[in-house]
Amino acid sequence: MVPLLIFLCGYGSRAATATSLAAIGIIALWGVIAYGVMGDVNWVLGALIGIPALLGVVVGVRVRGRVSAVVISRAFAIVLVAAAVLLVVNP
Amino acid sequence: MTAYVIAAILGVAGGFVAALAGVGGGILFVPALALVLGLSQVVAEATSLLAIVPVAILGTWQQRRSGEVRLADAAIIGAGSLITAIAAAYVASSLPQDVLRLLFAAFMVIIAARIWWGAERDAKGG
Repeated sequence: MVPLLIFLCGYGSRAATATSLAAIGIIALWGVIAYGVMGDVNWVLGALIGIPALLGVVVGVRVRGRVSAVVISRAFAIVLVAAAVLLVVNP
Repeated sequence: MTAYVIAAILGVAGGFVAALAGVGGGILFVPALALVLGLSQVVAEATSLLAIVPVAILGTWQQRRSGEVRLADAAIIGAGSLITAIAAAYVASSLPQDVLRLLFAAFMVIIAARIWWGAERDAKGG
């Protein structure tokens, strides 16, 4: 969504990221309603992850810029690949 | 009870890493819910969407103060996605779990590659 807003709508990268985040909130809400109707949402766990995540986001935004974003991003990329492998081999 | 404590810890850790690495929470919440808390793939994806909603609201509210959020455009995109989001949820709910897991794992690898090569570009200010 961010590249589309930048290249098709002439947004700056900050405005594109910020606007896409707002849109993601709405899209996630549709998804929650649709999955909720089908009985696929674990409401308690979703709330227990989503609300504490706010604390993590606030701290993360403050720490950002003081630590090496390259190192953290790359470590995170490795964790993602490892988790992807685990998802496939550990059903 | 243990699952609830684990969920809260995963939430804080997920939000922290998401904010640092500049990615959405879902890419972290889904594998965490599936691998650590043992939810089925479709329930993990559905539940992660619920967890994303407050994060997106807080992020939007924080960025709104800097005047970067164009709420009218976000509302148009959001409204336009109503049908596709419902259709995607229906498809995901009907797919076999192992197929859904494989698709999500492939998506994670693509995101990991983007983060890996994007990190250097961001550091150079590009």
